[in-house]
Amino acid sequence: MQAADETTVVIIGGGATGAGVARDLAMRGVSCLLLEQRDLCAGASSRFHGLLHSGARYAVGDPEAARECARENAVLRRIAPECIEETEGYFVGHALDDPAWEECWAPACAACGIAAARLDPKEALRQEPGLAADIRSVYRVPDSAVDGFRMVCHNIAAARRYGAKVRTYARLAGIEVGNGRVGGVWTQGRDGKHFIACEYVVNAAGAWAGEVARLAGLDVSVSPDRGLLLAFNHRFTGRVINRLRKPSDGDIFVPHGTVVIYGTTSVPVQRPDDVRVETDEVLRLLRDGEILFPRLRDYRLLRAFAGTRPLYTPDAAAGRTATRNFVILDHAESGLQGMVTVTGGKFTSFRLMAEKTADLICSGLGLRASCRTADEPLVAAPSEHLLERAGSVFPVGGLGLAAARLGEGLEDAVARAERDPWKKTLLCECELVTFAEFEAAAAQSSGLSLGDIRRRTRMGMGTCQGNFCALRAGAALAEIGAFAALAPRRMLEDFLEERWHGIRPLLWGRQLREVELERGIYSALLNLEGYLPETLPECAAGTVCPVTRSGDGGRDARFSVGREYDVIVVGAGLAGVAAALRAADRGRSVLLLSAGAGVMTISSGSIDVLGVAGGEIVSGDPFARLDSLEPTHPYALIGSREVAAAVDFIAARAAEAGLSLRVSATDGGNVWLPTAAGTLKPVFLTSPGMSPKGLYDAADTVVAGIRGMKDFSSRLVARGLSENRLFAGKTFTPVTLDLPRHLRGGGRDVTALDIARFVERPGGADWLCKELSSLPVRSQALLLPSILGVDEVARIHTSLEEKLGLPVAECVCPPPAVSGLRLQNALRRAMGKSGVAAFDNVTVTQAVVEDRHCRGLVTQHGGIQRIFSAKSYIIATGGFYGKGISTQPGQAVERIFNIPVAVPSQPESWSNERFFSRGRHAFASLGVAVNRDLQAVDGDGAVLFSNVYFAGRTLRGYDFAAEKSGSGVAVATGYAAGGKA
Amino acid sequence: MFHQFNPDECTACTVCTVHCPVAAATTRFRGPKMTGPAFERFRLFGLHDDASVEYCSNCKNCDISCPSGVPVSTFNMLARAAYCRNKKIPLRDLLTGFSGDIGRLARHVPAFLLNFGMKNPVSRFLLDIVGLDRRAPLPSFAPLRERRRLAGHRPPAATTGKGDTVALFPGCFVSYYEPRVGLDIITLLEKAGYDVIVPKDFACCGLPLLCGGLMEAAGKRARRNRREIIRLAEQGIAVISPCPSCALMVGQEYQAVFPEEIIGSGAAPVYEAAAFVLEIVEQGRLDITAARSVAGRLAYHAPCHLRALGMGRPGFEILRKISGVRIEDVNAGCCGLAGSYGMKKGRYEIGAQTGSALFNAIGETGAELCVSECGSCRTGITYGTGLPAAHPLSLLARAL
Repeated sequence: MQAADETTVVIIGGGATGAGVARDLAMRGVSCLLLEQRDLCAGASSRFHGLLHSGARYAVGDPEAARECARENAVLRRIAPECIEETEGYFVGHALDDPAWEECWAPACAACGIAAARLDPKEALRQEPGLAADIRSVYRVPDSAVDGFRMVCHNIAAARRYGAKVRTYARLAGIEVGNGRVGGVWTQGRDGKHFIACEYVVNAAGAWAGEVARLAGLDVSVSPDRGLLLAFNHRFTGRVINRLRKPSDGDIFVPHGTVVIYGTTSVPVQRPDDVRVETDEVLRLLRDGEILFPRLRDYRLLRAFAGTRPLYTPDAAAGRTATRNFVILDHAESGLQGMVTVTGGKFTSFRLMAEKTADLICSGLGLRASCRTADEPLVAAPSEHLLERAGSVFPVGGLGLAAARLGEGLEDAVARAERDPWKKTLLCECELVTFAEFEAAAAQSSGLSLGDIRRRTRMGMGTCQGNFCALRAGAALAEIGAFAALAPRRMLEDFLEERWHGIRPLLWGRQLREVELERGIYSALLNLEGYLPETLPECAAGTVCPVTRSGDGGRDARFSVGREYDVIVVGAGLAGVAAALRAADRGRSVLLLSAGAGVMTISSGSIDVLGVAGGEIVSGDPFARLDSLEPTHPYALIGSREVAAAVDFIAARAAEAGLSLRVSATDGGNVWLPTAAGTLKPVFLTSPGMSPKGLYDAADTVVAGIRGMKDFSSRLVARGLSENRLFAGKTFTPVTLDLPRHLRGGGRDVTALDIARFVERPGGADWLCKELSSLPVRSQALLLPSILGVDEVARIHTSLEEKLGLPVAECVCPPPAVSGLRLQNALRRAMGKSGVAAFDNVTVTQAVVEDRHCRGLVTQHGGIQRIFSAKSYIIATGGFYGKGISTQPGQAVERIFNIPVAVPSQPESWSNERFFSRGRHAFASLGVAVNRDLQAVDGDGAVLFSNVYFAGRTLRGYDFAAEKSGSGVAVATGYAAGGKA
Repeated sequence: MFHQFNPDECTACTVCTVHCPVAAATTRFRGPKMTGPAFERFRLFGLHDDASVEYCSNCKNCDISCPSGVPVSTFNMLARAAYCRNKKIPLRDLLTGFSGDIGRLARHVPAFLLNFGMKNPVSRFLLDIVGLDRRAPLPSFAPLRERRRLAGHRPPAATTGKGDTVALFPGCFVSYYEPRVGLDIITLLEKAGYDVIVPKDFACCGLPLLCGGLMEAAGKRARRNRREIIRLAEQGIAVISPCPSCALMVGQEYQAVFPEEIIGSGAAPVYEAAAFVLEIVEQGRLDITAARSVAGRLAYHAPCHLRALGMGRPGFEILRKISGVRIEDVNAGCCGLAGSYGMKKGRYEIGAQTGSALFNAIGETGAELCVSECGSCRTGITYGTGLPAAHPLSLLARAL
């Protein structure tokens, strides 16, 4: 075997062409090494439609390319069925399109041997009901969807099988040239510069080909040409849809598994890595697409991304006029032996490009081996036996997906799941990726970025775009000890930043809601920015609120009579509930209307007040900091005394309902709670089970996770805490308990909520106690996920501490958040006691306003419209996530009263380039402008509605995630509004 | 698949799973988010084989709790129908699905025969074999005379044409097991000056069929009911149902499940009876100031489907207006029976565990009588607590 620093051919570029060349050469017995500067398939091979052309698109303009596509299309279907989804395609002519094009297109297809069968548009509409009703003509063609990631990965796996070597994250630093011959290449890796001797260099660097050629002193005119693509959340078309017109922007829709990819554009750019996406370009593309799919704007966008095509432009043609044909340049013709550049072309013809390149090299090497890449399957079909084993391992419908994604890795994944049945659990619920598959993909990847695993599995590429799987992925890697060189927090951060890049140009509507949820989880709940205090605060066992005494009036709860209430509150989140409780406390009859249960179960259930202000950590009494916030900040508007009274009030109501929230820091400031991400999160009032005093005092702590319970890895938490400077010198030992038998093998993945419910049932607490007391490690404190029951947490926590004889604390865990559910349940009980009438499942659609006075709120349900009236109204409908503020590109409006919300004029200034930036995102603090009485005001400060008050995230002027102030503002403004209404 | 109905509103936030009573009771159910919108993306891709969707009880707590307005349970029902399309429907689901038709067929058979036929140990044993758990409560058929009285109700000739007319959609439970509830409601409405008709052309709302995956049979009933409701609406006759589930199904679910029948056929709301009566009480059309108090403590349970209707807790509000009534809103979640869900084998334990929170909470109130708008909930509560349970409007009718 040849050492890796000497090979016959070095291939530059880990895209489809490079991978194809590697496979081809390796199959012909030529020793080769592929170098890729990033991960495999990081360039245009994954940044295109994923269309396996039938050739029909090029039939008129470029018949040669069309014929080539048609041939290669058939070859790839044969050799790589696991990378291809046989969707077929339609070419759809619209009334707006020039019929002359169709007249020359159809015969051109026939001339190229492309089967384009005319179809009745009515039949096409039946098959694809999302299409516009006014389409004029439809042809059926053999287009298909192809998965670029998968095609490249499987090509590489096949090449490796034949002895090819592959190095990713290896940058080409130089090409050694002497005596008119290539002598080798220099690479720059993470571990320094290496020389690799070789006879041939194949430049398959795609849009980077010009730069690579320059390293050898050659001039190759490759112009990067950027194309924008949009990924949609659901499969609104089952077929590839092409617009039947002269090739232009926004012509092609390709269904891929669960999503649809739509594009593209053609913009010449200077640099191959210029994959910027601008909102205006997205909007232009959507306008084009609406012609064929009139409801396109209603479909949820997942992300926007761009790739740079390598256009070969020796004669200065550009954009759509440049040829899509490939070229192979033997640089021997310009005086350099051993250098070949292969560029231009399309994904569909990558195999042919590789074949021609390998032919050239083999003839140069004097080899007669012929190409077999068109005959041999890319991946050996899994055996019946393996498929049978896999069938019992993968989730419903997930087997086919996993088998196609994994290729040769299938066996590894199956074996992992057979060894540890809990690994059948889904790591990515949106794209059905199991832990077993994830681990198998991790074993195949570079170990440097979660993105590598994402490309191999599709993890994080569905609905939630990583909101739920990123933490799980970090936890899974910690559990198997992979990717150990990366700090977990950084790894998650990098992954989410990469996802953010594709979401950022789409900050409106549903994407913005998902982003607000993401910030709620990673920024507010888990503090992934990693804010840390100078020192840990001193903690006591915890004093029960009140911190201040509020002298509010007597509690004379009165039941509502009739439909005319004193106060109507809209929204069942923390702000709405606080408002309802306060108003009821003041003797008002209160009706609470809610669409949805609010998002307390996405929160920690602790009450934060202010953790970070102006990018700086708030130390000491957080209330002291409130009055010096910006004057538009809700805290500044209502004043710190009211905020303190509100916190006391909510703690008192929760305590009456059986949940005692406590101030743990002896200085009356914030405490920092450990989280499931191994970070610390600042809060003011901690919920029972969460006081970190024991953790702060202990020299050694055991962190206990549960095997097969999602979203918590004791190793991840232990590592995060032991690497935290505040815990220097302390040890954290991870241990793992077994899942209670009762919860094993059910089918649904088990979360902390399932364990908490189990622990609350008869015998559950005993199980936990027994498991924990039989641990082989002794420690001074114990850290757990939030599993100590739901409504019985105080009793279970106390009894466990007594029995174990050491302090026990729970971590803050991601949704479904048990600690949040405890608060929600307690406050609902409190509302019941206070006589608040609650209507579930009602959406308030609009308000009846007369003379700046609200007369009623209109609800619409099942064709029945109703009007609810009260003396005053409190709107606590939330922000983007709660749908209190609805957004469109460049616009935001309060939904019930249609109050326009002032927004930054440029789409790019809605947000920062980095998701976890310490500066505020402008979008985060968009909301309703109010006065000190929480009444909405116009630009001149005039009150818009005299008897309407706003509370919670509907308000402008604060960023709950960056400030770690979400529940505090909700409680304070809800309480204040309830005090006015 | 109707293309306007898509999973795009879902953000995968898990709130529905937290509030799902079935998911709380068993890990065999993948949870509403997974079987609903998450798998919907795969169903659009041609994958239909998730058996866990059979565990959904269609209680609609997912829809009620969803912060994004996703009709999660409707996704589940459609998924179940797709799952069942090429499978043999178990006899159990045929029995519960067609229970309305069974009741209709037996409309001339005396109650004691029916009840003996259904509830004797041999029958329970046989029913157990086909999949109806022998421990589960089964409702009892009402006396023949009451069933006939409700079905044959006509407005008194003297008043016909003088007042507004409303139509009663009694629903299967009231028609066959508790016609008294229907008669009580008629009494109240007539007191308020309405002419009440009970149209012969109404069929079962189809919900039990839909829950059994019997989409086609449900669709047939939907079309028939819609036709009738539209016909009545054109005459200005509102439709009222004493059953929250029927009101939900006919008034709202048809639109999502059978859109091709509904789109363009005009709006025709169906009112839940207690909400309707509360409305006329508040308008002053029905005077209840003279109502005598109901003796003893009452515990009120809001049925899940009533909450899904977005009408609040009308039965509770009405009874609270009667001076001297001691009533507490228990607010402790689903009763677990969920129509016929908790009667089925393999679901009985799930139902029992779900209901236990409610039954304990009712016990803690010290109530002597339970009140709930839903017949199935009343059956479940009586079974779980041993306490009698009544429709709030029956209590009101008796108090007036």
